[in-house]
Parts: sequence; C-alpha cells; structure tokens
Amino acid sequence: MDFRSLLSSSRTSSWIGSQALIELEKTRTALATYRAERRPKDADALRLQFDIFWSRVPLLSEGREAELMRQVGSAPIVTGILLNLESILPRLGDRGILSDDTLADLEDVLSEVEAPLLKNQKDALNLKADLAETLVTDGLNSAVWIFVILFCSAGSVATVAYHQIRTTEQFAERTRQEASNISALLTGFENFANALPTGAVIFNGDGAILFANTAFENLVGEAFGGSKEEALETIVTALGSDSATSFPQKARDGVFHVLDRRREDNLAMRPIWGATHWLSQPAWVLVLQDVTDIRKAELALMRSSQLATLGEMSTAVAHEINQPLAIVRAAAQTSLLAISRGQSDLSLLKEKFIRIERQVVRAKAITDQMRMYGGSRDKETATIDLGHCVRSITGMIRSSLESRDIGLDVEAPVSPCPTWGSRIAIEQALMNILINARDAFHSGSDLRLDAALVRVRLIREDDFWLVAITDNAGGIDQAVAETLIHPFVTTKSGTGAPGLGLAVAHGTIKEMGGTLTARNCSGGARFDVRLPYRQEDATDPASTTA
Amino acid sequence: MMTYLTRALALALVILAGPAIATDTVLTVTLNGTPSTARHFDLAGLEALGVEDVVTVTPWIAAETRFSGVPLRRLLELAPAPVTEIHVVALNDYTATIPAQEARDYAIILATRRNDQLMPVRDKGPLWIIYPLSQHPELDTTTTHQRMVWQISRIDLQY
Repeated sequence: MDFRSLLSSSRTSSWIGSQALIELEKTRTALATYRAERRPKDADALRLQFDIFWSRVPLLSEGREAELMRQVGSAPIVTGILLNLESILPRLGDRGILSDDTLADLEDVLSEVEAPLLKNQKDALNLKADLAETLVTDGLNSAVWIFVILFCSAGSVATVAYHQIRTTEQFAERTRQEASNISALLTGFENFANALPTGAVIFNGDGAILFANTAFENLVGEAFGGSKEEALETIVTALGSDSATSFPQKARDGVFHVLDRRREDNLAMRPIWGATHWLSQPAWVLVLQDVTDIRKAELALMRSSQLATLGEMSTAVAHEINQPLAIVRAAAQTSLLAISRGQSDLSLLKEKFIRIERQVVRAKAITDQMRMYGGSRDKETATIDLGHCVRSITGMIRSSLESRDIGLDVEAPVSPCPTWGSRIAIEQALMNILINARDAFHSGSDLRLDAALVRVRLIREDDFWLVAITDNAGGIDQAVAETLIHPFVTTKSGTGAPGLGLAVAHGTIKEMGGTLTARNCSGGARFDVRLPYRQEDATDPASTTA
Repeated sequence: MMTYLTRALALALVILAGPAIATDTVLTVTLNGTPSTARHFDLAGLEALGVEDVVTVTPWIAAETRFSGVPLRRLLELAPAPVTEIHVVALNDYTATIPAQEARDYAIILATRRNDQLMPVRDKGPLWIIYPLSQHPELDTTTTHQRMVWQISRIDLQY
C-alpha cells in the first residue's frame, strides 16, 4: 500500500463506523419520541431516520473508503445487518401509525445490529494502531510517519508543522496537498460534529477536553454553568464514575438528570460513549442525548395512568377507610346512647373515645399513602428496599382481594432488598400488576378447583431481585400475554379502564434496568419483575429534588 | 417537509421504465439564509431546470456510475446576484460549503438519478452532489469528497 492510498484508505474508515453508530442512536431516539406521544409526524420522522441509518451501513464495506473496514471483515457484517433491517422494513410501511409489536421488534433489531457494528469499529481502530507500528518499524522517514500516525487517529486531524519536515521540493508540494486534505478533514469533522443535535465532547485520560461541539457548549452555557471541564466532571460523576480521569469505570447506562439552571428544570440526558483517538492519543467520546421532552411525555403518560389506577384503587381505598369509619360510628353511637340513657360511667366513654382516636389515626395512614400516588416525584431516585415496597403494596390491596374472596400469599425477606430507582414508580408498577391479577378473576372461568389465590414472592436471583406475582385465574392466551405490557391492550372489557397500567409498569421497570415478563403457568398467569441488586449511595450527586 | 419527502421516496422506490415524477418537495432553496426567499422544488420542477449526465467513479461506489441531474451552475441562476458560496444541508444536518466558482469551472451536478433510477434515502438519495472525478483527477481530494453531499434537503445560495 503506498503512502497516498494508505492515507485515503484510513482517512474516514472508523469515521464511517462512528457515523453509523450515531445514526443508530438517533433512530432509537426517534423511536422513543414516537412512542411517547404517537404523533403521525414522529412516525414519519422515525421512518426517515431509519432510512438514514440504513444508508450508512453499506458504506462500511463498499468503495475505496471502506478498505480498512473490509480488512477487519466488514463485508459479512454489512450483509447480516442489511438482512436484519430488511426483515423489519415491510412492517414499517411508508405511512400511518406503527403498532407496538412493530416498535418492539424494531427496538430488538437495532440492538442486534449494534453489537457487530461496535465490534467492527473496535477492530478497525486496533488495526490502524497496528499499521502505524508496522510502518514505523519498516523505517519510513520521520516525515512520513508523522502523517501516518496522525491519520491513524480515528476521525481526527491535525495541522502539520511544516518546519519539522525535511523535504525535497516535490515532497513539500505533496505534503502541502496532504495538509490541506487534513484541514479539509478537520472542517468536515467539525461540520459533522456541530450538526449533531446532541452535545459531543472528546476528552483524554487526564480529563482534558480535546474537542467539544456547539451543542455541548450550549449545554454548558445554558444548563451546567461553569467551565466545560466542570460540566464534564458533573456529567461523568452523574454517570457513576468517580471522575473524568477514571472514566468509564463504574459508568452506567441509562437516563440521568441534571439541573438546567436557565430553565430551572431537570434535563434528562442519555449518554453514549466510546473509545476513540484524537491526535493519536487514546481518548473518550461522550455524546449526550437530551431526552427531556420524551421523559416529560412519558411522565405525563405515567401520571394519567396513575390517575386511572387511582380510579381503580378508589374502591379499595373506600373499603379500607370505611372500616375505621364504621368503628368510629359505632363507638360514637354507643356513647350517645349511653349519654341519652343517663349513664355517667366516664370510663366507658373514655374507652369509646380512645377507640375513635385510634381509628382516625388508621384512616389517616391510608390517606397519607394515597396522597403519595398523586404527586409526580419522579425526580427522587434512591436506594429502595424492595421488600418494604412489596409489603406496603400488598398490604394496600389485601382487603380489596379479600372482599372478592381472593386469597393473598406474600413472601418477602425482612432483611433489606436493595435496588435503585424511584420508590413511587416501582410501587406504582407493582400495584398495576396486582390490580391486573385481581381483575383477572372476573373474566376467567367461574369453575375453579382451588380457591382463588394471588401469590407474591420476592427472591434473590444472582444479581437480580425477582418479584413473581402469580394468580390462578385461568391462563391468558400466550400471544395476549406478550402484548399485555403494551399500552391500551387490555383483556378487561367495558370497565372504562385504559390498559395503560402494565405498559407504564414495563417502562418503569425497564428504565430501572430490570425486566417485566408475563406468561402462563398452571391454571393462571405469572408476572415476573426483575430488578437489579444495587447498593448505591442514597444521594446521587446529579439528581435533584424539586 | 419530512412527510412530503417520505411520500416522494415511496414513489421513488417504484422502478419504472420511464421517469417517475413525484409531486412533493425534495429540495428547498434559499438566498442568503433568508427563510422568506425559500423556493420549494419537487422532482419534476428540479429536473425541469435541465438535466446533464456525469459518468464517474466515486469513493463510495467502486464501479463507474452514470448520474443525471441539474448542473450546479444552473442553480446559481436562481440568485439575483453572482453567488459566492453554495451551502448544502443534508437530511441528517450534515453541511458543506462549495465555492461557487467550482460550480462554474466544473460540470458538477445535483444528481437526481443514478443509472436512470431515482435514489431512495436508503441509497443516499434523493439528491447527491456529484463531481466529475473521472474526468478531472485533480478533483479527487478529501476536500472534494466532503463536498459530495448526499441526502440533500436544503441549499442556500450566498451572495
């Protein structure tokens, strides 16, 4: 490979890979945007973004620029990815709404194609590093190996210090041409980076920022305040790392929140990061997607489902509160009767008043718990004791089940079962599942060999907590079981309750790094909630409370 | 505009013997970045400006390919004064700036078709700036490759 072709072949190879990965992320965002509010224009935007991502894939194996990628086996990868994309294409159609099945499958396809893309990218980067070594040891003169090293930096450029190069006139001309190629590359890269709607920053192992695009600088100015380096430290610690110098140790995926000073609101950001080179030094690139609007839409959805759930829970609440009220009434009536009959035994009256006071306290505890569900406290994330959640929620629904002759069997450890997330959100999710189980007994068969029973078990499974909620209300159709977690699918007819509960539960659990699955088991259905075992600091440095 | 584009592309996917004309916007042209000067072109309107062929290799397609499209210098005529720079924006917001003189010196086209077929977004369509690289090897540089923007949606003429 001669000097010139080496330069052009290594020029944008991993660049191409980076672009493909970024368009993949943008497709994910478009999917989430559509899912949040279901606007037709967002469906069209998703289709377009999917096509844009698609168009990036063949570039990894076709043409001159893909030389390096082909060397690390991009051709079969591209074929595989295109097959995957083709498989989902007919279901996207070219207009109209997209079904939840389609969205879920699209999500799966995107995850499937991501792994080979990442691997190919890494292999290409490693190969470039090897190439640089080879050429240097082959004894090329220092002028050339400066270029080679520079070009072996992925997507990076530098201006050349001419005076360092001892050259003949002809070679000088060629280096000037290549230097202008390099600065064209720099401009191209900057164009691309600055066109990204997401903040992107490249930094090295010393925490020094090597490049930051316009969107990132805007974020710093508007939201974080302070210097870019300070903003970077804030972001990196919000992701779980100790500092930029130890990144990405301990860094975790998932949406995190930072305070936007100007808007006095929380920004929800989703990070993507990867290894790269900049001026031949290893560096990290961190891209931040602002998913605040999506989060807000999801929150709005969750709140509307909370209200729907509240509607359903109101009967349970009424039942709960009616009990203490009934006792209060009986006590008051007895006291009035005693007084009207002239009985002056104060100790009897005292006993009645004590009883009344106790019942009022009991009723207040119930209303206190209910009040929690109305508030939007999504911003509070902390270590949660899952056992406590399970006991609290099952306690709340117990009488509602008993009034329908449905038994409730709960097993949860008394020792702490830590996971990390929003307590309100997970309690909401568990409640939705339990309500679903309760209601299943209506629509199921009336003939049951065993007494109606809902069983809740919380056990540790490797790195996860498993909350298994089973009922014996008769099985659900397997196809229906899989779709129950999708919004608006409900097997309850005519109750006026939109089937949002399980969908939101699914979303919440997923966001906490867990899974929700539904399937049949003997005589009934089983919902498995898995949440990661996590012992985090109770105070997350970047999350704020309202 | 996204909606229009998707519909235009749906038509583009149908491979016909003759040209398939879409009736939705594929390109918006503005002057000096001013939105009120925006002129929207559908495929027919664009090709009505006159079409030329360029047969060339590109860094992304190994074989020589025949591209047809509107010569860039024809687009310059849309401005009331001599254009200095052509600012091109793609669907994913990638941008590039082409010095207008290059459009006058070389047969650069805004390609609408590749081998007579319309180009879907998946195939880097609907519009692609193609330089006559095979005819002018001096153009085969990184700088030029950066300017061969595909998936174009907007062009701004600066003067």
